[in-house]
Amino acid sequence: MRKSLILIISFFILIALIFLVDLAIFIEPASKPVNVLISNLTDRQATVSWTSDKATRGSILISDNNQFPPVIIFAKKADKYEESTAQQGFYMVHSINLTDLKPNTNYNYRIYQGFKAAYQDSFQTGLTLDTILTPNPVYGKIKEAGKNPVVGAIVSLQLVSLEGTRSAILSTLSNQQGGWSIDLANARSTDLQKSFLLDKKTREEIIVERGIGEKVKESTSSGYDQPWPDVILK
Amino acid sequence: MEILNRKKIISIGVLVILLIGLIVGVILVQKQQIFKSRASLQIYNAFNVGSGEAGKYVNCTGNVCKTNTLNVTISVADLQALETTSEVISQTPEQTAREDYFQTVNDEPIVDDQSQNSALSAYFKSAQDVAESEDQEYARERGLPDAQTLGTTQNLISTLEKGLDVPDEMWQDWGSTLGNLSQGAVDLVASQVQEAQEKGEQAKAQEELAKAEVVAAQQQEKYTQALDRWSGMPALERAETLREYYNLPPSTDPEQVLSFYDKAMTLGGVEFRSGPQASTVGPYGVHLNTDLSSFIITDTKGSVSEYLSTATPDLVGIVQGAIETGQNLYELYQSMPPEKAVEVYFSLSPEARDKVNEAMLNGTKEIAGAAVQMVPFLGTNILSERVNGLNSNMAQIAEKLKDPNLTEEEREALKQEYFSSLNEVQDVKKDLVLNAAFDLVGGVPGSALAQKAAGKGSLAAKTLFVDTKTALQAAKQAGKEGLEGVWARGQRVATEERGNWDVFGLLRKGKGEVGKPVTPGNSDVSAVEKVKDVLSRIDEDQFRTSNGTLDLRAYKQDLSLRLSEVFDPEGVIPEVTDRLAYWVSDTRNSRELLLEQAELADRAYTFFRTKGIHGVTPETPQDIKGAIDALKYDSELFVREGRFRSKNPDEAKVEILQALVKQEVNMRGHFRIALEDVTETLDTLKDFSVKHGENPGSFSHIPQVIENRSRFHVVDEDVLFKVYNPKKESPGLSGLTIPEDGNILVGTWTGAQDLLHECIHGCDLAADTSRMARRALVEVMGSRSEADRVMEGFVTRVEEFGATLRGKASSSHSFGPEVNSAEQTIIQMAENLGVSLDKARAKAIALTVQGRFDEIVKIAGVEKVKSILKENPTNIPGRFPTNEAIVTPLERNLAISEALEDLARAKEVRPQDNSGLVPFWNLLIGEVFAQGENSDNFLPNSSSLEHLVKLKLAKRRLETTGYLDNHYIGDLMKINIFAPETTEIADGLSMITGKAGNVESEIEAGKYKVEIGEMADLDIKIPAFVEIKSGVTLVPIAIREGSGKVEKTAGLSRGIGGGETAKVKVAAFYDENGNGRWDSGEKALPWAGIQVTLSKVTQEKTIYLKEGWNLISLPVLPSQVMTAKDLLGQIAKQGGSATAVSTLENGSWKSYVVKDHQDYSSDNFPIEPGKAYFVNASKRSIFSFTGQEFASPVKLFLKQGWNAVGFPILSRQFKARDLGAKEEFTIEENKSYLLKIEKEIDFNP
Repeated sequence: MRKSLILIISFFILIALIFLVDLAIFIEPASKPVNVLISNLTDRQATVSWTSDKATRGSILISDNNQFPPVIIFAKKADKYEESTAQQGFYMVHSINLTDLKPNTNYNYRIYQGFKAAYQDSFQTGLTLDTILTPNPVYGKIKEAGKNPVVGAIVSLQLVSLEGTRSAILSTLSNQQGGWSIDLANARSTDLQKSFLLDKKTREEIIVERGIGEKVKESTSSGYDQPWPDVILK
Repeated sequence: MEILNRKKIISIGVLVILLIGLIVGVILVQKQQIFKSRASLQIYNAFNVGSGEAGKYVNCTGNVCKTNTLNVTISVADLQALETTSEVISQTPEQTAREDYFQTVNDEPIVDDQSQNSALSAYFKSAQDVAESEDQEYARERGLPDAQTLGTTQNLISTLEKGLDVPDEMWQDWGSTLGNLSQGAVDLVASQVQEAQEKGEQAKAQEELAKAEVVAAQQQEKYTQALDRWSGMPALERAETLREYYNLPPSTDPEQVLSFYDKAMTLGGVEFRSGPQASTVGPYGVHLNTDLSSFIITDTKGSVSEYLSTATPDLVGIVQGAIETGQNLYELYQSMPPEKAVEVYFSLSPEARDKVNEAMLNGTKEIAGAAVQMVPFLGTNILSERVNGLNSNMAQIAEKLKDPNLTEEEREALKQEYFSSLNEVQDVKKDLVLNAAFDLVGGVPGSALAQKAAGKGSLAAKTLFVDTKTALQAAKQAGKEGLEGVWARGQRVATEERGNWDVFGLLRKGKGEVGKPVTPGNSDVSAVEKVKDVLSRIDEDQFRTSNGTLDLRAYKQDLSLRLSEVFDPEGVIPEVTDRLAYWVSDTRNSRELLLEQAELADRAYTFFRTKGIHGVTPETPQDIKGAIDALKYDSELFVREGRFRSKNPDEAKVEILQALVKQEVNMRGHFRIALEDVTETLDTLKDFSVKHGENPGSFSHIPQVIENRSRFHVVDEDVLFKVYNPKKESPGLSGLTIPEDGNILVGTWTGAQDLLHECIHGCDLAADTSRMARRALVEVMGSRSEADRVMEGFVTRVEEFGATLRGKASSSHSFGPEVNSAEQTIIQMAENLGVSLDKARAKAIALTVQGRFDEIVKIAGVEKVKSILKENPTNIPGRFPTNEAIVTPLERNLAISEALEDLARAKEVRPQDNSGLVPFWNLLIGEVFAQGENSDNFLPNSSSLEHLVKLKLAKRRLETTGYLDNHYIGDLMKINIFAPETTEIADGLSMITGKAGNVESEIEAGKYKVEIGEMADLDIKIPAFVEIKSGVTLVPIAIREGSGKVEKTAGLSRGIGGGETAKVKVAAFYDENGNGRWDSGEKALPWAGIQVTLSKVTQEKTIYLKEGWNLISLPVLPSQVMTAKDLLGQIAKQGGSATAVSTLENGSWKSYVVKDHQDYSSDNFPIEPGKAYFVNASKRSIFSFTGQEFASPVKLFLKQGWNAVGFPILSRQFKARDLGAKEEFTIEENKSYLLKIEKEIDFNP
């Protein structure tokens, strides 16, 4: 009799817990990731960024064998705030840096919005190059039309040679003053097999994006990039 | 069985109860401990408990803490716990991380592997924390609320903004949406909600205020109506009105009410009131308690506190509401009756009072403007603007005149206008020149120097305003010609320091007029003999009272008489002998002092007569030089005139005597007492004004005015009578004189109360900003004399108030007509404003003290005031003499007025006697500059300048200490101020160049940081560091024209000679090409007084940065946590410039970029030992930092792929291949490398 009672109580507690977890999952804001971008792709790192139409908790799970656990408990990587504080922020612009990857390896990644898996795709890391370039950071400011700094916008940069050859994409987020910097020494060819070498005629194109619909594209040439002319996000 | 069971049950029950009790007890104890902990925390935070270091508020040794500021000793039970807790609470995570590390490395010096590992681990952790704390802040900034939260928040905001009540459910809904948000998002929405809430509350409060105003107006109306009917009102109705008005109970006996009222009126009260309504009428009168049991009479002197307690809650509520809703408190307060405002003020909370105070001060500033905030040289600026305006007008007229279509009449009218403007320009320009001249000479009107400066017109500005550029030009010239340098370093241009030019005036005058031939010793008997004779004939005992003390008054009179008999038989200078006797009788060891000074007077007299002031050379005996220097500052002699005031040699000697003795006693004490008295009076006056409803700002700024803006020129009465106006045509000169320029001359005998009086003139009317008020008054009154009369009347009235408060009789000035005018004007004000006489008077006084006379005249009515003045013709004709009549002894006035000002600024400053000479000199030297050759003030050689500097030194001494004794002067004279000078400081040397522009000294070998102060309009380049070994190491100081920058150049100074000992030589040169190096052909600058400090660098490591990319690594463990941002900041601080630091992470570069103080990166990262970093420097520089040497190599964890590594220390020799790289090169200690590693490895180098 007593055993039955304990079983019944345990059952109800379990039901309540499940209900609570479900409720949490249900009320968690979620949104379909758009503008998903793989950038800064080298032999050992990559950046996955995307935007959402509402503020969500974004996280990523990666796998080199396409196996993902059925429910995400601990994300491999999440929006940066979580990394250091074990708290997760709600953002409309997401950018997650994946490090310690293996060279020349195919990775599947899955984007989670809160508890929900919202997107899945893959990328391939490059080889480790035999040479390394010295740093070459270019930098600038993103501002609103009213000259206020734009915080947390994705700045993605691509180098374009005179012949029209494009580099793989590099990206960063604008800081609290609207500043951004990207090191061109990290630029590679789109197949990631070699460094993308610059000359005076190389053009630099950036796309700045803060949430859905807020996007601007600008370009400049080498020599006018330290700093870049201010980019106004309309 | 049953019984047993029952017993068991009872036992179990008791046991359960006990257990519960125990648990509850434990919980309670636990709770109490928590409370204790919190309480301790509060106390701890309040006292900032330190660990015994100097400078902390509380110093603790063990568990006992003491404080210098409070006379308490605190015993702390758990000091360590408190300190730990406080740090957590008071510091940001970043600060905590830095502090933790700093303490760790200080507590645990690196001596072995273990301590190194511990320090490294602390460094890595703290550096990571520091970098991440920024990331967290950034993440918060970036975070946004989700859509659901935004919707809920918007609903809440719109409800709040309407001022509607928000249902609990709505709050709960909103609160539940915040749970998952980032802190940044929560802050954002919370601030929006708070803003909406404030808006809603403001709307509510405004509504309330409007309601309250209507009620107040109704009450006032009722009261006014009742008063209108008062005289014809039947007794019973009167009683009923009073009862109603004062909220007395309906059952109150009407006769009793009337009886109290009559009694109150008989006792002199203006009004009768009680309870809350008491605050609606003036400050004096009767307060009746609501139960009619007693009443309080408030007169001008007492019971104010009783009165203050009756503030009505309604007004308090209104003010409180106004504070909360951010209304204009100043306007609100201005609209209240003064006494009401005071009551309300004292009924407010301390925080609310602060708000009111702030609003009142700001409001006063806005209205009074210039009267509150000093604007230097305002007069000159205004005049300049006027000239510009007129010139522009004239140019326009000239253009119009070119029009051929003008009629003759139009042409004539334009010409008239043109010439009228031209005349005004000339007049204003004259004023400008006078202003400039007065400013130059310290504001002393009519002095020869001022006259001369004025006469020279624009030349005054050209020749007298000198700057460091002029000095540099002169020094360059001297350097080229190999001449002896005579120039001193300066922080400010000379014209900023008034009073420099009096000395030039003396020297120039001295050159021309002093030294007229006289026969030495033409007085048969020396001053010494005469003094001896006088003293021998005085029997002190004759002046002793019955209790044995000396009757100083009688003694002084007798001594004065005897001195007069000997020195001044014709009684020409009785005041001088009188004062001499006074000083002697008032000074300890007076006889000896007098004799000593008499001897000096003899010699000084002879010297002065034969050689004059210009005859003072380095060979002149020190005491003579000292005496003459002293005379220039505090003397009855008109040194600049080249003669003693008294032509009679005997009289001259007594003048010298008097001056010398006076040095010992000085005027400082005299004026200190006077000023303190004035300050006290003003404070009392301020309190009075506050208590009586006036704006605290109206009086409170006066002491400040005295201290900072006083332009008094205190002169002796004999000067006023005999010199200032030799024809004695103006009887008014004995007290105050306001010459044309608006400066104030006051007799030295002026007492404290009068000083207050003069201050009101001097500070509010005559000095800089207050000239505005005076001009405004003149404009309104139509003439200056009329304006002065109004001013005088009100000022006298204010003074009388002050005198009454201090319980002293008011001054006996004979300004009867002026006072009458003021009184009548006040009556007129009361009428026009519809207020009581007291209120009008209070208003008039407040406006007077604020200098807002124009407002007074406006209130009373311009025409009315004019007619009042006409009815009260002044009885002080010729009170304002013309400029031509003004002649004052410049040097004396300056000395006294400056001493007075300085006294007020630094009341208790008393540098230690002679030990303070050198620092004084260093301060002073900044005030003396080289002159252009064409200037009248050109100093021919270094002796002249040295002399000048010493004069300034003595003067500074006089100003700051109030003393200027002969010992000091003697010591001063011995100093060779243009000799190079080296002083040991805590960690190095402080070196000052001599007149050759250099200074050399032995110094301990080692590395030193070089520091130098900025110099206006010059650019200086010095090496940032100097490495001193044996031989002489040169520290070149490159100087050239510029904008006042000091730039540190990269590279160390090199030794230039051999030898056993280490020496350093600091030398200035003119940096012709501006490259900071002493190139061939560039000349030395013989510039004395350049001060350079060399501070030894301890445990300092240096990283040399060349222009472009540098691969660096940390050679030691830094004593401070260093991030990329810190590194760039430190490089800039140390005179370098670098824009980026890059680190290699996961085979990719991550850069932190700062350019022109702008951060361009979002990821800061720690700078760690064992890693290498690229630094992009935009110029060559040296970066130094302190840290500990490693005891053993730093272990490295190298990942597969590219790694940037540094090796501060190696335990063995190895090659790159040993690390897993393909290359064969040898790894060297303290170098940095980029290595491609095939397989990750833990490596111990």
